[in-house]
Amino acid sequence: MSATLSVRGLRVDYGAVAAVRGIDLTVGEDEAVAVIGANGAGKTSMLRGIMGLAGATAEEIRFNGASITALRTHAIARAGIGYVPEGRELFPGLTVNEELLLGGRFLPREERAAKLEEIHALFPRLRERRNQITRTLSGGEQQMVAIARTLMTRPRLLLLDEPSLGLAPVIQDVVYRALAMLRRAERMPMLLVEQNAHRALDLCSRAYVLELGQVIRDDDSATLRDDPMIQAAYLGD
Amino acid sequence: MEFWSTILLSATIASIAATGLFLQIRNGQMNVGMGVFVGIGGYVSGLLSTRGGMSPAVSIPVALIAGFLAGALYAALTLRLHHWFFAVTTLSLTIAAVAVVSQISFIGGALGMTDIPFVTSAPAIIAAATAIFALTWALDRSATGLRIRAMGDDQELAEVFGVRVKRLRIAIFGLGSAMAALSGALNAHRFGTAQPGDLAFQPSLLLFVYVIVGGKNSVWGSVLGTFFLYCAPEIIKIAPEAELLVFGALMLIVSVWMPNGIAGGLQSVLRFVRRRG
Amino acid sequence: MLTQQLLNGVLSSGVYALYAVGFTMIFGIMGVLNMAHADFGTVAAFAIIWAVSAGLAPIEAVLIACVVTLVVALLVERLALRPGRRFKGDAAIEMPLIGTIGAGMILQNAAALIFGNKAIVFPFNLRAFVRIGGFLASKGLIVSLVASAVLLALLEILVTRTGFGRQMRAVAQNRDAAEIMGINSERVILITFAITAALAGIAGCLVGLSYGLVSPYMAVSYAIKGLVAMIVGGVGSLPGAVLGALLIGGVEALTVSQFGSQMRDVGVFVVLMAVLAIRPSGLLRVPANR
Repeated sequence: MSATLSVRGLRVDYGAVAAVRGIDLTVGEDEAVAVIGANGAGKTSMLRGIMGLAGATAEEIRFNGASITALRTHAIARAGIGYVPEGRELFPGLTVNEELLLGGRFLPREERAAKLEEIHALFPRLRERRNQITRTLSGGEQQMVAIARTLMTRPRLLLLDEPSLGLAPVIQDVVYRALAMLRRAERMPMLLVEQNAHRALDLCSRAYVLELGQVIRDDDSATLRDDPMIQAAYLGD
Repeated sequence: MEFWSTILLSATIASIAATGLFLQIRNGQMNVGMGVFVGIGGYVSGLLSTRGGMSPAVSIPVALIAGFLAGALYAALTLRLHHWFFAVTTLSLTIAAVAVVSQISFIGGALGMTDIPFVTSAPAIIAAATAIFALTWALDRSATGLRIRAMGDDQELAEVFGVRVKRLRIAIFGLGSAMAALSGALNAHRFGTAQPGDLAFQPSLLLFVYVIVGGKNSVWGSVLGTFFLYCAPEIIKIAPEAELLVFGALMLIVSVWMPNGIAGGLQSVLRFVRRRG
Repeated sequence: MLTQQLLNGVLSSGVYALYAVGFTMIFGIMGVLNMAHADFGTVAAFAIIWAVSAGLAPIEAVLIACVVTLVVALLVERLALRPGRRFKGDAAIEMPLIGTIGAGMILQNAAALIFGNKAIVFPFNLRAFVRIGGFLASKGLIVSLVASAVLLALLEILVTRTGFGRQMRAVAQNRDAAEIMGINSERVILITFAITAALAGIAGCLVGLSYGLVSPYMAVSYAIKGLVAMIVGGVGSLPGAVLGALLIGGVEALTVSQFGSQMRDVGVFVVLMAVLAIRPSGLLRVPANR
């Protein structure tokens, strides 16, 4: 199985502080892979590093066979990696519709309309809130917009950073149901960073465990779930 | 020799104002209208020593206080403004100030005052300058100096860390303006004149350039910049426009490559040499 | 008399609006102030003067002015604005401020060295007056106002209704997020900057057209008015900049009619301080940036 994403030797430094100290990981063609770990383990920095947003260096990052190591962020996005950042990072002054149009701007008109329909089917609430400014949406709605606008770009890999953060469990259900549907319907490859290890291991077949900027475990979800040490550290309550 | 002593004394007086501006910029208040406060010093002392009948020994300190009050007032009015917002207001201030002062016939209107007593002596200038440098240097090294620098680096962050931002802004801007007023008063009693042009944008901009190019991160940097840029045009005689063009280029170079000005550059060289040796 | 003055004020506000909008757009998308912005107008006007004196036809002169202004603007962006991005904290705003003040000084004094530091005749002028109702209006200023209105209307359409405008707003509101969405933010910023330079260039030529004279240092006065108009109207807001310009033009005219033309800048200062005291974020507020 060829890898969709392969990362080798990723380091992220913020000045003198090393947030990520040499990570190797892969995401296979149809895989959903989780990255779990405590706060400050370097999970967000890792994703930002892959996207070229932080002070990152890597031996090599390959996406669908092509090297993206030296590319700027927008080029990485254009290559097909859809990044849904922690904290949503929407455009506070744009409407829901404008965010989605921004995502779909490279699609020909009919395809864009069709994709818009798909999105609205996945997140019916967004159709209602079409013309609302994103600043005025609830946390859950914002998270839906963040995922939706990324999907409008027709990504071939989704990087998700803490999609459940700050959301009520009911809303988390909605988000994860949508992600599960994406897995079922499109077999969308995903790299999912999550503090909520339960949800992560439910959705993903494999997971990396990150601690202090390094990968300490790499195993399939079932094994990790049964491991008492993992249970104690990440699956408690 | 006489020529040079005149130039150097003028540069010394200017460096008093530059030191005041250094404090203000350090504090995060980009003042491109320092001339206004220089002018206030000159006019207040000039007025009091001529129409008011005071001795310059009294009128000059009063002018200093007037400068402080004017600066403090202005800072209080513009408390909520950051950096460039603030810079724009000071720009507008100089233009408006020149217009207002030119209209008041009581203080000489467009021609200004020309009968101010000649009192300023070389020893007085040097004494004043030394006192101001010493004061500013001590202030910079004190705990307050640290707070000033914190405010200049990132005002919001400084506030989070407990710096009394409002109080410092008013106090430091007032202090800097007082220094400018002193420099203006000294000049008024040196040449016997105070004119609307003293408050204008051009002299304000020059002071700004002196501090930035000299080095806005150290007292001696601002002084160095003043002397260097004041005296260099006397050595290399070029048209005033060419001089300003060079100053502009220096500002550009500093903003991109040498944020700490010439002083910073020299410090880097010194550090480099020390490491090698 | 009052109405005549107000009319003058409204007519002058056209040029002010062009400068103000340029300032506000740059601040909106780059988060910094380009103090050399008004000097682009000077550059364009002097380029035309030079071209015409070299014997070129008006169309060619305009083309030369476009090219020269654009080149100068891109140089300023490269040398004075872009390097500022590598700084953290308040220095990221202060350094470009200083650098662009320096760039402005270079441009003004280069023009003064080449063309002399006095006002020069502008080859095309519409200084004649027409009667509208019972009032006099300068032809040049009428053209300025109409031209500004048209340009700014087009700009508003660009920003609010086109895809590129959406990209501009996205980059202005959240640069990282724009990159994540595949937008080449640096290119968007450059194009926006070029647009503002064009606005300034046109404004400079309109000034020459209206008054028949331009001077190397004229940018200082227009920069102040443009900046004050921007602040008064609300930074980052296009309609705000236009409103601010109208207000400044009006206040200026009123001040002149009541107190004489020497006091015009005092009125501007008073309005600035008044607005900052009462409503510091400007008259028309704008969604938070960054």
